[in-house]
Amino acid sequence: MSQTGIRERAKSALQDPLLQQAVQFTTDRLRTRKANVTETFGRWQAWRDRGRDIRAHTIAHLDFYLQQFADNVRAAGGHVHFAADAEEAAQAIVDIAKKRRAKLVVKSKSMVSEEIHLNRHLEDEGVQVVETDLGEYIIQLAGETPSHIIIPSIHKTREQIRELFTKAGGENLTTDTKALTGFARRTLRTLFQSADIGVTGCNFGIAESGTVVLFTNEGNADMVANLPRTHVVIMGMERILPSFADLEVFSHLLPKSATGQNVITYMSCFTGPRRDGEADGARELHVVILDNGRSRQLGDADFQDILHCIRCGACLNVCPVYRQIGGHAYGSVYPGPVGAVLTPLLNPGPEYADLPYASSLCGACFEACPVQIPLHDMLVKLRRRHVAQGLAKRGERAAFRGFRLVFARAGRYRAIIRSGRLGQVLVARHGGIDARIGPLRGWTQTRRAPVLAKRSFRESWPGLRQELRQGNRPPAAGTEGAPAHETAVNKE
Amino acid sequence: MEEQAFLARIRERLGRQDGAPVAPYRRGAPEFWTGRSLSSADRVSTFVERFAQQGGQAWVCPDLTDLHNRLEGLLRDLAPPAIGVWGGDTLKEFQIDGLLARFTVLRWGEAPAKSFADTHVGITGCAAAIADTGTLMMAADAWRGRSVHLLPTVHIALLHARQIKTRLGEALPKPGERVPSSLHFVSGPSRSSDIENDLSIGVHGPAAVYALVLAGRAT
Amino acid sequence: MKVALFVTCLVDSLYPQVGEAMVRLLHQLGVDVDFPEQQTCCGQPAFNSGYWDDAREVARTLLDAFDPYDYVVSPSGSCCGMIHHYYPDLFAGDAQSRRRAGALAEKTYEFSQFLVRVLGVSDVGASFPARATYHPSCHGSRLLGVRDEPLELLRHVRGLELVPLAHAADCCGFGGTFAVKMGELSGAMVEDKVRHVEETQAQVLVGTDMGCLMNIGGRMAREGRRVRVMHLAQLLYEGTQAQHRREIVG
Repeated sequence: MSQTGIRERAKSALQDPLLQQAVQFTTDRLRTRKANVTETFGRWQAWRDRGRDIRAHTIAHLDFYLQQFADNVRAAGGHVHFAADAEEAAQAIVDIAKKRRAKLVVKSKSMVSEEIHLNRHLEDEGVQVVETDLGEYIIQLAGETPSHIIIPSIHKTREQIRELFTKAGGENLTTDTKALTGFARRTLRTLFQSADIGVTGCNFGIAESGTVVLFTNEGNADMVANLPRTHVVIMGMERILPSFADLEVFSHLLPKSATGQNVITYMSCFTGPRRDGEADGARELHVVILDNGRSRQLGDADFQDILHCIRCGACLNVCPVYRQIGGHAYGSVYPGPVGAVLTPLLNPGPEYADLPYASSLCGACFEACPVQIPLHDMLVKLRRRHVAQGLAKRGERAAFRGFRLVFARAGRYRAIIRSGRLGQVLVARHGGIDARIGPLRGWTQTRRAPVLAKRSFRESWPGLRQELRQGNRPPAAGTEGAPAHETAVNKE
Repeated sequence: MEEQAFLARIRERLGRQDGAPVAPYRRGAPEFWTGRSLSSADRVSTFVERFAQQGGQAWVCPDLTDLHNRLEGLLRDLAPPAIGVWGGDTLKEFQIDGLLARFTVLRWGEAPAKSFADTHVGITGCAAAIADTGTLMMAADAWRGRSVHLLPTVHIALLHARQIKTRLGEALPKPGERVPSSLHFVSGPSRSSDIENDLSIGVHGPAAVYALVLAGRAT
Repeated sequence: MKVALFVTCLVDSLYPQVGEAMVRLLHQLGVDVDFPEQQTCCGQPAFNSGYWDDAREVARTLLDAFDPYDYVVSPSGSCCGMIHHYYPDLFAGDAQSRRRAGALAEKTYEFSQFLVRVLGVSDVGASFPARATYHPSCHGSRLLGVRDEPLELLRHVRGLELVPLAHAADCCGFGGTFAVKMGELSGAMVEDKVRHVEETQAQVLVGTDMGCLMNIGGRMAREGRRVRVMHLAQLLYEGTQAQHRREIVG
């Protein structure tokens, strides 16, 4: 939980050049690869349309499909648990661990397990929890939390990773990628085989068959799901697809959007636990379905679509804000544009109310989203909600009342521009404002602010109109009153 | 939370009645995609090409003799201390028993499942293959253990050209069909880019994946 | 055809020369625009900050001002984007205003869009011998769908060497009140943008939104960079003047 606001956290992230370098390097690569793969694949917009339609249909009938999914999980021999909130979900899993007298739990990457703080709950019961996705393993050793949905260790350099692994294993490793992954393979392999329980997330739950679908590149989720006696799946309740036919669509949308891969290395579909006669696979399968604030978005025309999200992280990779500050600055499990929307929706109240302001509303997230969630619109609507709930600062409220007072009447507006011109004489210099004081401080720290023109357009309009009507030869466009950075620049 | 209360909350938020029918929707991949079909020759060549793009290596073998030569060559180079193989008659048509006689072979369903952790090579068939993405579809049952292809460092899959479908949707279970306990779609070796986005192979699953595609009829 | 200029508050008060260049260029193309003075601002600052009631009252000035016209043309993709993309939401609670807002959106065009799509002009006869790069504004391109029109116009300018801008589609960090509220973050974003502009070694940076250009230009001015920042309308108009003068001389 965060103690400071997004502004302060962003500020400190901005002072970490190593973090920025790592985040920018990786997100650049991911977005370039995505652009290439979708170009080669072709008709990307048609795929996005289909993806959005399927998600919208599913969420609009979620009660039906969730019931069907649960029935089919049970028919295949699995157990289903419904959890209203994080506490209930964590408790359900702790209960399973207790019943199985579990000492060691291995996990594959799951954002929902972070959301319910599962590791802490299990560790409180004396159960050791080991993350097995390479990136998650790295940040677990570092005692941190993920900073990217797909690449949790995006902010770590290989030197930092070498130090962590060397400390953990007592081996002296080089910074060679092969040496580092080799260490992780050896260490984690033995843990897969001795673990009592494997915990995974769920990319998609297929309603028609009760199938849990996982997408991974490393294969760790397969180890986690197949080798321990018990497989526990933790899933957000919105993670449903009606049919395998729909899975075909998302088998393209998800990896192409997430990492620019044409196809995921492993797509694993588990339908119940192992069956009679089978000698591997978990003997027991539990699926924990989590609400935790999700159902509140249903029926809300402004925000229901956030449940369409498939957690690909494409919005992070294109976000000009994320690329500056990385994931931790968002202060919660879900970073980037989707986090700035989802986090305050799942956790209403003042704690995360400032997240929607960490956006220039450029819309790159929407453009990148494989299911076309209008994240940029949602950010505005969250700000509106923030204001409506009276959480905005009083000064800001007054400022916008002032804005309305002036701008809702052209006459007042005209008068105020005139008086503003007088006022700024005091601060303007070199034809621009550099003074780093007052409400514009945020701007003038890094930029020169322009000054009001000597004559506004509306003031010069009558003259201009007359001139053009009389058919005079038009002179060159006036530069009178041009702001500093235009008059001061090179005119050839 | 009690299941029905959980679902009732969703229903209420959505303004739906209990048992209300589901509206029709456009299901599955777009029609321009499902309407495509590659010729059998194109399916094979596309599969081989995409399989390689995924970091695997696939060969088309005109007959069993060629397949045996390929397999023998691979095993000679790999010199595995132990090989895991699907059990029962699952690979019978590929007639590889003679070839494997020289090696320490663990057969699924006969050797203890745990012992497959020590295999270096796993030899399997597959339920289907996908040309579009260079994918092997592995379906688990009593003779087709998941560990056989998951745990070793090298996975070798034997398949018939006719098993190769154009797109994923053709291989996925149809509505009402019995779905295996595990369907595993494998596209190349295990990979990770978690260390400075530098690709590394074989982080958990196999580091090498080979496919031998038998083009002719099994004799 | 009755055409109104929606000048936008930013151009009106800070960059009148942009509005003027636009009016003069359109005049040369045979379109006489009118400037209904009831207009003030599209309401975006308040809207984006969550103050929809305040935004709505300001936005009404546009509904009233532009009622009698066939077309509305504006030097800002962002403000046009506001009308197209957000007015339906803003006026959702009031059917009559909602209808008027819809009608306004239908006839409102960003400057380059108006030239290319409505007038069918992609060559205004300009000449501008310089090395230039183009920054597409986020709202213009993403909310309004203006992507190729400015480039098409620029490609027809004689002597203009148009060099691509790396990460062109990345936001410059303006975002209205964002630039003040999240000043440091916005500053870091504009620094990146300026670096990319620098890398092109362009003499001129062209855009279609003065918000972005004020931001990028403001940063470059602070750094003492010698890149000329111009709205597309300015470049095109100046270009026609140069052409004109040459024709007279020649």
